[in-house]
Amino acid sequence: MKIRFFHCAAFMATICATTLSAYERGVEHPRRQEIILLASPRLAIEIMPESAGRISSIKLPAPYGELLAPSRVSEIEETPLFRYPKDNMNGIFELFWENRINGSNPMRVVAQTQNSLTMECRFYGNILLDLTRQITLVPDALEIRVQSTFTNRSGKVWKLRPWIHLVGTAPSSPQIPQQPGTHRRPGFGIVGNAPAPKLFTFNKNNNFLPPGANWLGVKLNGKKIVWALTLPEKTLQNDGIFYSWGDGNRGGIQTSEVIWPEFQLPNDGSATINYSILIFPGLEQLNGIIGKTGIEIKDGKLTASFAADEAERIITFFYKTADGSENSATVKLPSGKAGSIQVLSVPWNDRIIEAAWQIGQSPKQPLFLP
Amino acid sequence: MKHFVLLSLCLALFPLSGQVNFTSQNKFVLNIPGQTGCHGSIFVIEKDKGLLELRTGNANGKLVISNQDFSWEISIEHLPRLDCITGVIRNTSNRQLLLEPGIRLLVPRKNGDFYWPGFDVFDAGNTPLRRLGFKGRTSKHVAGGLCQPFPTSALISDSRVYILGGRMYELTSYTASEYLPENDSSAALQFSQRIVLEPGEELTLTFFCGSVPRRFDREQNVVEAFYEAMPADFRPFVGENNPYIRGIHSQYTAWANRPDYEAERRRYATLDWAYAPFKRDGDCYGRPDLWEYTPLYRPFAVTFCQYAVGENFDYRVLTCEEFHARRKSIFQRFGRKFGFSFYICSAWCEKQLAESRYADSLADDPSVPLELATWCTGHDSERRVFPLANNFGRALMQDIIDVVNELDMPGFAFDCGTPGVHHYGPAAGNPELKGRSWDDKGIFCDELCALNQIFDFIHHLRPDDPLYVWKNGEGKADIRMIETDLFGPIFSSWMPLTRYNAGQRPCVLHVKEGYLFASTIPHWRTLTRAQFIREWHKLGDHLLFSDFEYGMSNSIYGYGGNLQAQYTLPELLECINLGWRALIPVATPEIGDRMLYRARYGRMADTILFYGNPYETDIPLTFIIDNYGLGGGYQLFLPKMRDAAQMNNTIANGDTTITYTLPSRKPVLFEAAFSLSALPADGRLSAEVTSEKDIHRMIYSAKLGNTASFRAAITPRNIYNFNVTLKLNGKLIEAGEIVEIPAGAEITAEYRSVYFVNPASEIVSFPFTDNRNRPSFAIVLPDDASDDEKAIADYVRDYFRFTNQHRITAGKDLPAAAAGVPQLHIRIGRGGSNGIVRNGNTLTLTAENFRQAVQTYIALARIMDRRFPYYPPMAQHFQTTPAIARKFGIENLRLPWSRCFETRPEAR
Repeated sequence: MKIRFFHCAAFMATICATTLSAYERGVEHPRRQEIILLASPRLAIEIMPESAGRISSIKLPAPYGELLAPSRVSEIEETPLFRYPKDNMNGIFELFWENRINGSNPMRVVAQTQNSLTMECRFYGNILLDLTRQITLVPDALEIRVQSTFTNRSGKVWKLRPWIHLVGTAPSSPQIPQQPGTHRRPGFGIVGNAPAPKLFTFNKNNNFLPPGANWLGVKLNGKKIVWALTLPEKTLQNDGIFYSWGDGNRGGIQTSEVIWPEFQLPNDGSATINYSILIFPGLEQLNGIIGKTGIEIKDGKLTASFAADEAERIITFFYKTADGSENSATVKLPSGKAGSIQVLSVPWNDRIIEAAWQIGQSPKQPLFLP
Repeated sequence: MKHFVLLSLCLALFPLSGQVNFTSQNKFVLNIPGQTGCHGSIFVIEKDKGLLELRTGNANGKLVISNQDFSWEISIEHLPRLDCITGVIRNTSNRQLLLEPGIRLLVPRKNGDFYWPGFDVFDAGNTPLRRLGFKGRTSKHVAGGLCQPFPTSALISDSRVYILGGRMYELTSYTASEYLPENDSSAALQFSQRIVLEPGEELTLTFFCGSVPRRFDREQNVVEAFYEAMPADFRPFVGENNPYIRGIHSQYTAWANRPDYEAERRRYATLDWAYAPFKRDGDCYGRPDLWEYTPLYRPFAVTFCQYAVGENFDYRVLTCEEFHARRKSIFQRFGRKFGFSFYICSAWCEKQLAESRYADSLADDPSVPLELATWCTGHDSERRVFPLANNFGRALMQDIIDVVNELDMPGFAFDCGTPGVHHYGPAAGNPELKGRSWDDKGIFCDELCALNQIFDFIHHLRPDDPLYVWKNGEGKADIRMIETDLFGPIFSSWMPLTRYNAGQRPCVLHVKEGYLFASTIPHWRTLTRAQFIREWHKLGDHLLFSDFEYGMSNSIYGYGGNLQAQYTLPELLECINLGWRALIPVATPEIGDRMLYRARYGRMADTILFYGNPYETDIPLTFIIDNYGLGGGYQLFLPKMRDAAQMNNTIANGDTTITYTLPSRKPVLFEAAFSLSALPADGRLSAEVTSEKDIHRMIYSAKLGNTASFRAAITPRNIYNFNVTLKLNGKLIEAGEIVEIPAGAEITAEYRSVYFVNPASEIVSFPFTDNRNRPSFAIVLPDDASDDEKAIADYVRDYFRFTNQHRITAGKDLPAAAAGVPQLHIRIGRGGSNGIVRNGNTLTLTAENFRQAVQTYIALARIMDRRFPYYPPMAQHFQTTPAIARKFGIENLRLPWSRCFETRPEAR
């Protein structure tokens, strides 16, 4: 039967008015908050005390501009009963591995000068820690120093692993020095599988990496600038770990993260961590850091970028070519002012599969190549 | 008379939807009431050849589309809302065919239209829009990150929706939806499916085509059309009455720890995720030859994954035989009682095992994680595998059979299995594998398509006592786990499509930490208790309203301390089991730019509407309910209350109109009491509808305001565990039979409980305890009491163990039977009517068998709970809630609540 039955035509006239609600769920309201600016002639940084006191912006004069991916801290109004903070957790501030940190918890400013800010809070990130953080712009340098002291208020012994993640303004990619071989890291299982020291730059999803040096960097693609977080020597020892997470899209996010070795703190016990941000204009990759000089080795050239004033240095490079033979070369690295670069020729090219440098009596340190 | 009823039903069901009629060759017209028909066609694309020339003919009354390589017999089935174009396609050649059969429809378009290809809804503009395959958004964790597209290609205009599509669980690995604008006023919609046909192979293909009016909502009209057309595709496959899928889930409180039956029963928990009941991932049975191995991630240890019912599987010392004995004992003691659902993480296998034994099964889709350092067991590293038609698939099937044979278990819990994960490996070349598709890289099978075939296998494995399948995320399961935080940012974007796909199946939310206080009330440490409770209360109401909105239940981590949600849980579960519906065809003109939480359950006479007013003031509203949107008929509504209710209804222009004031932050339910198949000649009807309810009997009545008689069939609501008799002016009539309804008639539906013959007051007043609140009745069993009768007696004793533990009663021990001591008699399998009867100081529980006795005991215990109530405080989980409990005191963590489903003051 192909007859279709109809109701009265009057019904047809009533079907036009749709009833999609005028109320829009999930509206994002930006969070208004105080921003504190610290500036020097070389760079300016912004700090958000009310959002865990994070460094939310690092800006250099043109052509470099912003180095950090924007911190988006807002509130989503899902319904009149439920609003929730939205935070992409960008910016530089301490997280603690396996503890959920709330990035919208405030810190209180306790001291401020032209180039330094000290903040403190109880229940940092809504966990049972007190935290004091001092952020200092080093004069006449492309360097930001941070010292953070955290105190266990949990009432019991607590094992803590500070953790910082770096996300550069897009598009950017990690520059993470990876130790060769496989290594067992408590809490992470076996990590690493590189046959030689390697500069990790991209791999989607989760990547736990054995640290090959006491720094890790971020490259701003297409901008000829790299910046790095550096740690005091031996900070990572054999328990620290580097981590990078990517969304699988080369134009998207790929983080550079460092997880400190475990601090076992008694109740009311404190620990302090120090780290610096060094900025290296003129580099397209970061193969090593000597002092406060970033080193890029590419196409038979060594490019040195100075984050601070540095004196002349003699560096001996050891390198191994593809045929397995070992060679060495000595390079005189001239003195340089913060923000300047030096380009030198080096006696090798892409035949290198491993290389190293030596400064004075310190041990041989690898270069990290992609 | 029967034909008249059918005709009337058709009138109610199909008044405004379109209908497909084939015209010539492979072409058809979708005739739509009141407008020009839409022209459509059937097409077939072959890989590397493109669109094929088709021959058409007729055979056996069916349209036959063919070419030199295949023959496709097509017939049209006119279903409610949509027409089903279905038939068998057969490869008549001697070569493998890679085909893409599809359906195309030319539809009118204009500015403001939307296009829904199955994932997100888009503004339909001047450029083509396509959804090609199942790969969608990653929006959740690694195990089940993708939503399945709803199988449709639909254009949604302001007043009408044009729909093409396929079956929800068609065994296919690839469907495509396309919107192709032709000019300013028309566009082509396409829906197609890629198939692999071996020589001589036959496959049934099903497409849908139709058009329905749009008056309310948006893509929900499309979803609802599929629900109406193919209801069985969207219901639990084991049936709605399976007791395990009718409650909330325990979220490991039963599985991991020593389970407390009374605690679980009072939470309405009926099943738990029996997590990782095996040593080695990928060997879920526990084969002796796979027993000894060294795990890759860490040495064996006893952690959460190795705990069950408070006992542990210490694989450092456990032999394979001991393992089987222990696991069997656990399921024997607790499996049925707590709904232990045997966990399988179906697409993953311990890495060494996968690489050594199942090398032909290794998953190969580079777009998803293929290896995990550790996960399911805590000690293994895992490799993703394809679970069908290969060595791993055969081992998994055998494991499932052996597990079912060994354990007393009610069903399975399947983790993982993700739509959009393609497998091109050896299994894809196996002609026995159903649902294969193709693309530029070759022949593949979708991971979830394979799993759905395993679920079909499980559903048929024990036909006399069907096993349910509980699935995390998408899949052809009976009950869905929603492993996404309600209070996280993903939920609101992920849940609607997930809910559309789940259809009328129950959903349970599995969350890491109920309210995510660390992010929802991040400053809780600085608040006073009153301030904290005020903030939490808002979240608690959001949880309660969201449960109703999406037809899902939380676990104790949502309900602990949320007394309003605990109080409304019986109604929530009744709604969920009635079946969530996508379309809410109700206008509330006065609402303006305010929002309401709202939902609809059931259809026609079985409709329940939910509303939640999130504001601080009450809102008086008019509700204009489009009966066509409810599936047809003309419904009469009243508030769904536990004791009594009254409401005036007016029906005109097909709409039922009611008025009600929505109280601030309390759920409101309207239930249909009756559905009429027709109205008086003037198309108008008024009625005063009332209800009177007790546990043993409920009476719904409608006093109609018709001034002249008319003929219509009357259908009362179907109420679970009640039997109904229907009367018109006091005279018995058959439900659904056309009758003459006199002017001013009164319809009465009287429901009798299958459990109780006494009112609640007589059960509640039974002398369970004496004047010092100590148990004061004796359990009396027959002299030759069976184990079943003794077991039910233990349930009753456990009731008072619990009440004593929580200081609800002043003792737990029941007195021995003696003269003058009230008695509870338990009789199983000894004849007599099932149920509970009080006669003086004797209460008798009668059942035919143990399973029925358990349900009868639960029914009795629910009424006893009214006298011995217990409302658990905030449940502690992970880091934040224990800290909150330490700060405020756990006993202080209960939210304010009030009775909102009682009308009479004395009942409140």
